[in-house]
Amino acid sequence: MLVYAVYVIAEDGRTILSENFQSTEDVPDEILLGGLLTALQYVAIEMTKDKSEMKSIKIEGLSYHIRSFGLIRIVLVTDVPKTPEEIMQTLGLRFINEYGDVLMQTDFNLEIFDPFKQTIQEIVKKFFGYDESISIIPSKRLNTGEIFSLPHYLQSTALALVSLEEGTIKDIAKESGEKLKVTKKNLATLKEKGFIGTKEKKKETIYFCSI
Amino acid sequence: MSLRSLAILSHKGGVGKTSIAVNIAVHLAKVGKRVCLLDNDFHGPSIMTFFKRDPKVSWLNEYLLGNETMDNCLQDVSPELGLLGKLWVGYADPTPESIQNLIRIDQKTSIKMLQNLIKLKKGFKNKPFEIEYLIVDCSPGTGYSTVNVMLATDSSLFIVKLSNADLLGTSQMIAGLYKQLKNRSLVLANLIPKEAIKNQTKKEEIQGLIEKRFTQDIGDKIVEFLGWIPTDFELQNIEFNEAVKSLQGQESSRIIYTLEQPEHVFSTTLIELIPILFGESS
Repeated sequence: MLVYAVYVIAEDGRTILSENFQSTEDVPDEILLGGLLTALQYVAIEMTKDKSEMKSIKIEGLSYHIRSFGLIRIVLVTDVPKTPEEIMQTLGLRFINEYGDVLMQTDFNLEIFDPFKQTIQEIVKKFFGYDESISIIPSKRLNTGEIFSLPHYLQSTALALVSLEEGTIKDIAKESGEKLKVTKKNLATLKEKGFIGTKEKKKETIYFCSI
Repeated sequence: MSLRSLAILSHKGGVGKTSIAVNIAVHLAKVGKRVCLLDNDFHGPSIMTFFKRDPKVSWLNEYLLGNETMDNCLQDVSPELGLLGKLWVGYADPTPESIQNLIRIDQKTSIKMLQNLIKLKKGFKNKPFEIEYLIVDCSPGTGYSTVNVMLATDSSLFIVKLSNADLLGTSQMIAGLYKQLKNRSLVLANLIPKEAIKNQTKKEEIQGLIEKRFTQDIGDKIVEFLGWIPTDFELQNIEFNEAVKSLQGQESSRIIYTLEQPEHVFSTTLIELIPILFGESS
């Protein structure tokens, strides 16, 4: 499972905090997202007999998992439909615990929530084993056109990464059928071009792409 | 034996791309090979006109879009055709809705389709498939689905018809793609009047001109001229009569020459070229 972003949305639909874990091209504008999900949430409550809230929604292949914690909603964006309940509970309860008093005030400066970005990183790291604090996020998406425009010698590595979505140099070399040395060099070039990112997991570098 | 994969491409439609793909695939399976033939021409699917499609088999589109498993989208046609080897066929959905959908695919869907195509190729190495030859019939031009196949296969075969528009278009297509061309790209001239290539000197002269045309703008890349596939009045007549039958609502099926008429000049010429096509000739 890949985590794309975490949003903290106030009751009125304002996004008060967000943290991206993938290319910014992959996640929607936070203001639009906050408004859209809040509006949909109210529609869901009106439409359902038991006035239940919307739990998740899939847009363009990404799943938006939503959980309400009174004054805020936590939205976690992933590439799989199964909701990671534990991580959402941890994020929501920690936020309420740290900023519940602030949220009760009628007026507050959004910058006050910025330190929670670090908490999000730590929680994601704890649950997924990735050290996001030293990760490098790809700035461009790998798509058919981009791969086709790459020099021929880079295409096998790029295709292997598209197939695996993420992996170590060894995994990617095995998938592409190329030598480790060649794969390492190609990954470095693709990273330099902004197509792939890296993150650390159990002291190993994991290469990943945004598709 | 490792999997050899071939994309069959053209600049324009109607150059006989599908017919060549089907005849190559059937011949290989007939001589005992394990083959998969995919209809990736989502804009104008026609491979199912050569075979009796089992309605229980899902469309290839569904697999590539992530809605079906690969096993459910491939039909083993070898028992029905009495082939010594195996031939699995993946059909493209010919319904107008599906064609419209695939014309409008965005980049995100396209990369998912590429991802699934790579997975499909990987799956072919396993039982029950253990495919030796993968042949993919593509849409004319260079749309997303065609580019996906070019990325996922080892060799490209461009089919041309010797008409001015097709020669110019194909040479421009090759020049436009030259940076991304595989190490091995080939050109096959199809639908050549049998009488026109009887004279060996004349044939070699035209062949030289074709090679010059296709290789002038592609730098250090190699585009080989594979050969000629002749046509004659008999072949055109058979195709015409089958089309008329279809219009009249009668049962009609297209002839697979390498299976049904292996002595026909179309079959004998194509069969001779197959080892060269896969780099297997001595």
